[in-house]
Amino acid sequence: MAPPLSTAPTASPPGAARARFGMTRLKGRSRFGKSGEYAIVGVFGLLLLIAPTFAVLGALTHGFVGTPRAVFTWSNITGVFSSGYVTPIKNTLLLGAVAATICTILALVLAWILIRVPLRGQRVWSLAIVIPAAVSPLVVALSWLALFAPHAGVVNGVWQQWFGHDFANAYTLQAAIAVMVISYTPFAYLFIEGGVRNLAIDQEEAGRVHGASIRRTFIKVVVPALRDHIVVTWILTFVLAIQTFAVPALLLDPVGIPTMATAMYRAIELGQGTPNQAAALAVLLFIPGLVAAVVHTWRLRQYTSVGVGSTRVGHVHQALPRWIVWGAKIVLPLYVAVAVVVPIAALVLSSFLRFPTTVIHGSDLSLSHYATVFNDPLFGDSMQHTLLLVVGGATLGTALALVLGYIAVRGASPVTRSFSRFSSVFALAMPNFALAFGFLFFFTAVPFLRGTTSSLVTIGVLLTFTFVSLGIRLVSSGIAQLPRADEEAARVSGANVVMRFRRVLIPSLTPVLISVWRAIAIAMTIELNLVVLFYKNNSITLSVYTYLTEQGRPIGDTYAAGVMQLLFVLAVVAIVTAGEQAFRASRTRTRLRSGG
Amino acid sequence: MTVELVSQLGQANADICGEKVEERAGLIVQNLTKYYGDHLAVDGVSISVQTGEALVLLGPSGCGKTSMLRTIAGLETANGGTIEIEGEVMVSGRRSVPAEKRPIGMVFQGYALWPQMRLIDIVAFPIRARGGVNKREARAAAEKVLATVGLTGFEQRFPTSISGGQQQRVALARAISSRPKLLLMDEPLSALDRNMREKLRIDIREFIRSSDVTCVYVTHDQEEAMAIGDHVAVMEHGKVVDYGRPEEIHRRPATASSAVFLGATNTVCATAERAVHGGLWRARADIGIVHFRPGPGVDVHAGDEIDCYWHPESMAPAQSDVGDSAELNIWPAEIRSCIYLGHEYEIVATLEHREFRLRSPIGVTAGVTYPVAVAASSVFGYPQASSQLGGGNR
Repeated sequence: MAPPLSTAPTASPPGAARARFGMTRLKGRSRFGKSGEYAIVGVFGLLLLIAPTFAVLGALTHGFVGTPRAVFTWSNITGVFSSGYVTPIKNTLLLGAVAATICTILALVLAWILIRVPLRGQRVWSLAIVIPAAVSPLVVALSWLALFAPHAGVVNGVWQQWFGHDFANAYTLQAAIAVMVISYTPFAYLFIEGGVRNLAIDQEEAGRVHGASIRRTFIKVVVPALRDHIVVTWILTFVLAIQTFAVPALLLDPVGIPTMATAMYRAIELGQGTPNQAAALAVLLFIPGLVAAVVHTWRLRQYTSVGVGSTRVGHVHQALPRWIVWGAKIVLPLYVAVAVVVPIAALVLSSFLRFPTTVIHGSDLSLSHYATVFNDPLFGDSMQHTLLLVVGGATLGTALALVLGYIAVRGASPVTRSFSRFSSVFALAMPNFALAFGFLFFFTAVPFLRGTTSSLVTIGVLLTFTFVSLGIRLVSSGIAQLPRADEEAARVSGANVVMRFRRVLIPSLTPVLISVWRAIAIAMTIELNLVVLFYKNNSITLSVYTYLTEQGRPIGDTYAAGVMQLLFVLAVVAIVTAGEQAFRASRTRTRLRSGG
Repeated sequence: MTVELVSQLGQANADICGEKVEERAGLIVQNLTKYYGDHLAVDGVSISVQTGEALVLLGPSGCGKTSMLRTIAGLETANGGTIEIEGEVMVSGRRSVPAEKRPIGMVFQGYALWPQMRLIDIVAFPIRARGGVNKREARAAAEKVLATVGLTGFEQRFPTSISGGQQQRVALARAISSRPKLLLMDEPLSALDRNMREKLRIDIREFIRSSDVTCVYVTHDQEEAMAIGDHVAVMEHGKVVDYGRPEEIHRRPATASSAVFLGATNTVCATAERAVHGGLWRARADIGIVHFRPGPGVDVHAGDEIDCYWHPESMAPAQSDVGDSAELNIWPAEIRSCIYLGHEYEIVATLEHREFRLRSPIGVTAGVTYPVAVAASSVFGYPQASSQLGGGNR
């Protein structure tokens, strides 16, 4: 007979259970403490507001803000709509709208193909699609010059021989749009890919079994379901396109096609216009970023709450018409060839040519441009500065992203959580070129900062602040995927916030943190929009050096500098990836050793 | 028979009724095979469902029932076999009609309602896509369909603003709105709570009967299968292992694995001794003498090792003065626990260190030794080699 069960509860003294399991008393219920979170988020928010605020102040002032001669005026704002800035604004809007539209459509199609069509090597294709994100728009523009420079580009050279005229002209609005499409499609892909992946395949299958073709299902189900993702992607890509300085500076400025970025640069560096008018243009550039951040924060959060029970996400269609599978097999290699292989190959080839030529012989190839670049002391300085910026900035940025990403997901207060999420998107959507103007006004307005404007530390801090939003997004998605119970188990076991970060969060998030470090490092290496307004010779970076070689030096030197910038990014990626692999291998070994 | 299943078990039946099947079949599937890489998900299954009737595919997770449904829908490519819907060939050899061209409606497990559309547009979608009618006509038709599922007044709502049960009704309305010849339902009630499931399965059953639509319904819930299906096919490892009317397969499962899946979780291993009257057999087990009925088509010989299965609800506490007989197995068991479930008791009893479960309207005191009885005709016996799932308390 089974022994009778004892059901009488036994009273324990308070804390006895904790003592039995060797736990310490829990200290409060907040993670950083609510006040700590408010302080961290508050400081970040203030930093976030500095640039837009000072850009607005600059736009509403005659003279530099904070100086005795500064007076309030509306003339800068009205001036940008009535003076010679109308054409740059029109060109910029046209450039941004067309590029953003093409990028968004292309990214949506590529994401759908990669997620829904059963193809081999999806990870490799996915990687190939985002490669241009690691290549600076300046380098892509250079590669287009290498391909389509009038009478000199590689493709034009071949075309000339066959048909007697150029195939295309790199110095046109269309070429600039093409370069932007290549540069920003990977970003659009990254923005929209998550939306497509999270769209349950049942939604599409429901369309198909109820009579809609794949095309109709795509138009009637996929596109409307991703409407908010599409809108946000379009706006973010639009922001990237309108703020770009390198592409119009290289391809449009030489033929007299002005854009807002080049007009602002000319106003501040060459004295063609006033800095206050440039600030007014910067304010205009901020507006779409603000719209993107608001739409992204509110609309996408609303969207993600709509599931209606469908759970099969990220699946591929198993019974697709053959033309779609074959179409995908053609589109992907074609895209990678046009956006990655051909431009980079042309850039590398052109960097070895002694002089631009349409007929290439073996004797035309030399290392002379590389020798020139390597013998230039400024190049060595730029390498050194870039390395310092990358190591310091990416490390600081990753640490900040960890803290802010944590608050965005696990923050004790809904206010700090929402604000962290909003700020991360807002910072991402802020045009760097406009941010740079805002910061420039800020540094001139604060007396004790004036002398530090061009220092490497200043540039590093500004770049870290600019790109930390990339990290916050990655870290918050990583933390959201971690079971909350892991951390709660540590808390109820008595671990304080530092211990929880060190023993639970950071080990689980190490692969994400490596990705964050890599993303910030790449972004800092290729950044030109902000640095070009702040640098001096003692803080010149590789991207600025590449841009400067284009001013009055043989184009071959510029190509060589572009290739060096590319190699620098590749080296960073290779080293970080090797470290990541080593980490994974060591973790696997540890698991095997422990029998896991 | 109104619904025929042609499978390893039902081939003979289909041959007998073949002519009738050809005339009235709403769905004929023959030798359907589906691979995922090297994994054989559907293994040469053949079924036939008569127009206006419901066949339930029942089985545990991973048995191939959803793969089969999705292949019928055209969402998966068949690796072999043929599929016909009301005489129209959908799959044959390399020919496969795309999902959107098949005359079907489908209710998905998670409903797959489009969150960005209003209910009226969701239901009108198949009407427009299939019927080629304009938006106004499609919406008018959709309103009528929504009314048939009791959602009048909800036309302008979005799927997120209605309850789970209402979402299920919208999914059903969409599936039937274009008057499909075949209705496919993939575990449509699994996302709902028990009360809602019980209510809706009656509604679905009534709807299928009244609408005269052919239906294939997938579930892993045996109660749901019994409530909805005109016939039930039990699947395991991509094959149909049992087929019949709900009460038939519940009372006489064709295989040991089917018996276990259908809830016959009490198991004992015995050695057959001799046949007794009425098709029953006597066997010796470590708990004593067991009288059983061999499963359908099972040949038993004296000396065979037999696995015997019976349902908890077939076993009950007995009066101690009732004597043992060939019709009734009675064993003295130790009552381990007796839990009141609201409408009956669940009793756990042990006999020779084996645990058995009983469902009974009468409770007994835990800790005492009490006779428990099960009718011999409710104990199914299968040769040990055919027992696939094992399970139970062997």
